[in-house]
Amino acid sequence: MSAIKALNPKAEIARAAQALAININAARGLQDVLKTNLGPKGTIKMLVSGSGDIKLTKDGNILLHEMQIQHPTASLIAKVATAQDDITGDGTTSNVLIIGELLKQADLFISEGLHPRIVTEGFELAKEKALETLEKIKVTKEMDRNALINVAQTSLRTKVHAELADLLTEVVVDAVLAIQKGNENIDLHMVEIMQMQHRSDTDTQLIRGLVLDHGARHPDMKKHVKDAYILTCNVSMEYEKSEVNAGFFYKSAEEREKLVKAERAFTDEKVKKVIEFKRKVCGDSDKGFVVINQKGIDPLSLDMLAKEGIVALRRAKRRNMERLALACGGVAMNSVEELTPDCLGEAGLVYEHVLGEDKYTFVEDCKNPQSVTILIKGPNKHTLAQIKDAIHDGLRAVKNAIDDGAVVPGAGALEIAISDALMTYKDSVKGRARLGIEAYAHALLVIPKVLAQNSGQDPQETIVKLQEEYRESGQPVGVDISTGEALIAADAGIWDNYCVKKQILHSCTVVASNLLLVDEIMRAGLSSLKG
Amino acid sequence: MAREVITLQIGHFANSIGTHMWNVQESSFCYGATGAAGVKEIDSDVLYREGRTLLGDVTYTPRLIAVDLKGSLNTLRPDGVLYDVETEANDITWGGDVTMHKASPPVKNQFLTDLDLSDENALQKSQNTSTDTPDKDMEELSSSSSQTAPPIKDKIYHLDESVSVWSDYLYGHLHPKSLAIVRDFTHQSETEKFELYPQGKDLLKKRELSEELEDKLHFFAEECDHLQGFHILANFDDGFSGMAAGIVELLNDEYHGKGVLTWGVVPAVSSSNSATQDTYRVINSAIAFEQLSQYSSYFVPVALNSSLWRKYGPALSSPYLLYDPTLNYHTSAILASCIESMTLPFRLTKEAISISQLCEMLSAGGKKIGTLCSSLPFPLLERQSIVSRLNEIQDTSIFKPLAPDVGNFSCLSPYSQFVVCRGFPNNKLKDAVPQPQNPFEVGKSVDEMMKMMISNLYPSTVSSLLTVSQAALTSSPYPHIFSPLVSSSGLIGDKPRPEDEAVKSIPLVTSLQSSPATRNLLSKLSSEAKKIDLRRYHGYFESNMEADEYQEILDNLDSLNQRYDGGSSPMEDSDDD
Repeated sequence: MSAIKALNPKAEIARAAQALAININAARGLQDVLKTNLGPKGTIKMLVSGSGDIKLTKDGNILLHEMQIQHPTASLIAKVATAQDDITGDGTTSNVLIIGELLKQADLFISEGLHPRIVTEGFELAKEKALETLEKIKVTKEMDRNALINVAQTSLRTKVHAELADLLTEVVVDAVLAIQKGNENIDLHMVEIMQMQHRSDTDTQLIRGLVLDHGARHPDMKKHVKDAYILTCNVSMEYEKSEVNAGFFYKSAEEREKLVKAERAFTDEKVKKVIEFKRKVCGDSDKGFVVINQKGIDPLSLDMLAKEGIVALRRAKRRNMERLALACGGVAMNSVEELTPDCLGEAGLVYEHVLGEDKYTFVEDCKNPQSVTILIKGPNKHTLAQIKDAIHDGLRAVKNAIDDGAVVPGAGALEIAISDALMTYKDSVKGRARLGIEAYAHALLVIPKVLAQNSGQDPQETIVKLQEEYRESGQPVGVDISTGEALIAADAGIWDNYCVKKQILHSCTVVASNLLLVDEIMRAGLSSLKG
Repeated sequence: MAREVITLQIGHFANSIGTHMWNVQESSFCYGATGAAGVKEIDSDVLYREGRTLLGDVTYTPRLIAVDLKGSLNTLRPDGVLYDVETEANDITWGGDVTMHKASPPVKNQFLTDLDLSDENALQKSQNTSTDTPDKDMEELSSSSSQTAPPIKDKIYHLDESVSVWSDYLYGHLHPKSLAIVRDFTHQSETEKFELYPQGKDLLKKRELSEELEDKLHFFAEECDHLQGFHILANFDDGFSGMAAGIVELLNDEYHGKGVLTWGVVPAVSSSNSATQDTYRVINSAIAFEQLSQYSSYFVPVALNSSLWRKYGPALSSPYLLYDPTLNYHTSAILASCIESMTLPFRLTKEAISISQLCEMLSAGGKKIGTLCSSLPFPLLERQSIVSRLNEIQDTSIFKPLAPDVGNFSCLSPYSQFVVCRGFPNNKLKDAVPQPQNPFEVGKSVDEMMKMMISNLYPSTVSSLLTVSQAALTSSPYPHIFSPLVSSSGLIGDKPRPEDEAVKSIPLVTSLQSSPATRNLLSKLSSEAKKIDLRRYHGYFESNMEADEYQEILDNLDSLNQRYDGGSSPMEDSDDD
C-alpha cells in the first residue's frame, strides 16, 4: 500500500500501467478532437453556446481555449499546445496530434515489456536527429514578397475558405512589408486590426494608414479633408476644476464665478494656441488641419476649433498615438506651448464613415506609412472573429518567415523526410533505445496521414506512395490533398515556418517523455475529500 | 447637461450588486407620455447613454463595463440582443465539412421567460402596426397576453431557488460593448481558481484583454462631453482584486483629474474551504486595499459581515430584514440599495455635485478609505408621523455599518459624512395635533428635520445631507428580504402585510462616512496580513511579486492607518499621494 494511503485513506492512486493508461487515453482523446482540423480540407467547427453565441473555427488553439478541459493530463497537453501558439503563432493542432501519436506508438512497445525510460531515451536521440534533418531540409532564401505569399497562403488556407485566404494573404504580406524597417525586429503591434460589421468578408482590406473607431464630435466639422496636417497631442482641452482641494468652499457666489471663469480661460488658452498654430502653418492654402488628441475636448473647445475649420478627434487610444506618428509622421505633443511644423504629420485624405452609432475615421494616403491598418469586414460577429483570428496567424507566419530567413516544405513533406531519416538512423543505434527511435519515426507520420484522411484519401496508401516517391526522387514530397498523390511541396509553393516545426519537435518530445515517465498519479487534494 | 459617469463592475459579486442597481434604476424610468408630472429629480443620463443600432433603432443602455469570468453568464449572451442584425442562418463559406457543436440552452427562470415574452410582445406590436397586414391570430394572441399579464415589475416572483448568477435577474439590456469576459479562467472552476491578486494583475498585461478593455473604455468615454468620473464596483478578495487595482491605476493615469469612486465588495459567505484559501483572501485584500485607496479618489470597502479576515463574522442582522446570507441574490440586493442611494448626489438633475467633489469632501487629510452605513429600511412607523418618530431616535445605533471590523461603531464620531435620505412620505410629516415639546416640530420639511436630527446625533461631525423624495425601489426582481411587518410602501406596521403583497419601495437613510472605525478595520487587516509568510505561497511569485513588495504594501497600509489616529491630524494634510 502506498504511503499516501496511510496518511490519507481517501486519496486516489493510479500506479504504473494504470497511470500510463490514464495519460495515454487523455492524449488520444484530445488528439481525436483536434484531428479533423488539420489542413486545408479539415472540418470547420461551429460552436453554439447555450445562450446562442456562435463561433466558427478550425484553429486548434481556439478550440482548446473554448473547451472546458477537466482532465489534468489533457489540460497539461493543452497548455503546451497553447504555449506553442503563444511562441510561434501556429502549430497547435500538430502539437496535440504528435504528442498523442508518440504516446500511442510508445504504448505498443511498453505493453510488450519495454521500460518507458528506454523509450524516452530513444525519443531524445530521435529528436536530435530530427532537428538535424530539419536543418538539412530547410530552405534558406531571400524572403521576397513571393516567398512570403507562399508561407502566408499555406497558413491561411487552413483557416478560412480559399478565396478569402488568397485575399488575406496579400493583405497580411503587404501589411508586414509596410511596417518592416530594415533589419529591425518587426513589431506586429504596428498593424492595427479594425473590425466593421458591414458587407461581406471579401471586402476586408489593407489601409495604408490608420483607421480610428471614433470621429469628430462637432456637426460643423468636415467629414472629408484632403491634404491635411495631422497634429497628434496629449493635452486636455476640457474645462476641469483645478485640483486644489480648497476649491470647494467658495466665500461668495461672485468668487465662485470668478474661479470658474479663470479655469475656463486656462482651457481656452490652450485651444487658442492650437488655432494660432494652424493659422501659421496653413496660411491661406487649402491644406486641412486635423487634431487627434489623446485627452478630452469639451463642446466649447470643439466649437472654437470647428469655427477655424479644424477637425478634432478626442480621446484617441493610447496605442494609436504611437501608430499615428509612424503612419503619418510627426511627433505626439504633450503640450501646446512649443508647436513647430516639424511635429506635424501629413495625410492625403482623412474621412469619416458612420455605421449605426459607430464612427470610423480613415487617415489615408500617408507618404511612407510605417503603421498600417487591416480593416476586417463581415456580415456578422462570428465571421469577423474568424477572420481576425486568421489574420493574427497569418501575420505571425509572415513575421516568422522573415525572422527565420528560412522555410521548410509543408504538406507533410518534412515529416516524411524526418521519418525516413530516423528509420535509417535507428539501425546505427545499439540497444533497445532504437525502439524509441522507431516509435518516433512512426509517430511523425501522423501529420501526412491525417492530412490525407481529412481530404478523403486513404492514409496508408498515401503514406506508402509518399515514402516511395521520396526515396526515389530524394526531394521532399508532401500530400496532394486533391488527388492523394505525392507532390513536390516546393513546386506547389507550400511552405511552413521553420520555427514552428522546430518548436513542435522540441515540445512534443519533452511532454511525451514526461507523460511516459509518470508511474503514479495521486489525487489527494481537498476536492477528493469533499466528494 | 448631464455630467456623465462610467460604471465599471469588476468581479462576479460586483456584477451581482450592479445588476440590482441597474434594475432599480430601470424600474424608476418612466417613458414618454406616461411620465410623471413635475420635474425629474434624478437625471438618468448620468449613468445611461442613448445609442442607435445598425437598423436605426434607438437604445438606452447603461454606460457600463462589466468584467466577469467565462461561464458566469448562464442565459445572457455577451453581445446582448439589442444590436442583433438578422442574417441568413447558413452563411458559412467553407469548402470542407462543417460540424456543429451545440450546447444545450440553459433553462430560463420564470422571470427571464416573462421578460422575453414582454420583449416579443413589444416587437410584435411594432411590427403589426408597421406592416398593416397583421396575422389575425398573432394579433389576438399578443393583445390578449398583454392584457392579462401585469407589468413585470408589479408581478411577484420567488426566484431564490432559480437564481444562480447575476444575469438570472437582469431586467434591462446591456450594450454589446459592456461585457468583457475573461477567457483564461472559468467561473467556479474546480481545477483552476481565479483566486490570487497577481493572476488578475497579469491578465491586464496580456494584449488581448487590455486592448479589449481599452476599446470599451474608449467607446464609452469618447462620446462623453463632460465626463465627471468613474464609479467602480470591484471584488477585493479574489483574483479580480488585482484586475481592479490595475484598472484603477490605468484610469488614474489616462483620465487624471476625473473622480474615481471605488466600492470594494465581497460576498457574505466565503467560497473558500481551506486555510490556504483564507490566507489568499487576506493577502489579496491587503494588497487591494492599499492599491485601490492609492489610485481611487475614494475607496469604500463594504461587506455585510462583522469581520472578514480568516473567519467570517456573522452577517448583518436587523429586525426588519429576513434574508439568507448564503444567497448572493439577497446580500447583493441589500448592498445595491445602499450604494445606489449614495450615488444620488452626483445623479441629481439640479445641483448635483460631481464624484470628485463628493470624494474630496470626505477624503480630507488623505483619509481615502470610507465606511458606508445605512438603515435599511429606515424605521418609520405606519401609525406614527415622521416628527414623532424622529424624536424617538436617540442614538446612532439605527445606522448599521456595512463594513467589517468596525469596532464599537455606534460610539464613534465620524470626521465627516454625507447622508442621503430618501423616500420619506411627505404626507406623514406631522401629526394633526402639534406637539410643542417636540424639537422637530419647527422643521418645515423632511430635509430640515433630518438636518436637525443628524446634527443632534453627530454633533462633532462635518455633515452634508441630501434629501430625495424618490424612495428606494424594491419591486421585482428585487428579492423578498423584508420581514412581514414591513408594509408594501416600506413602513413598519403593526400587523403583517398580506401574503400576496411585496414591498415595493422603502424609505432609506444611507451615510458615507470618513470614520475612525477605519482604523480598526485597517489594523485588523494589517495584523492578519503580517502573520502570513508570503514566501510559503508560491502563486504570488509567479508574476514577479516579491516579499519586499508585500512588506512595503503592508507598511503603506500602516501609514494609511495612522491618518486616522487622534482625530483629524493636521500634520498629514500636506501629504497627498
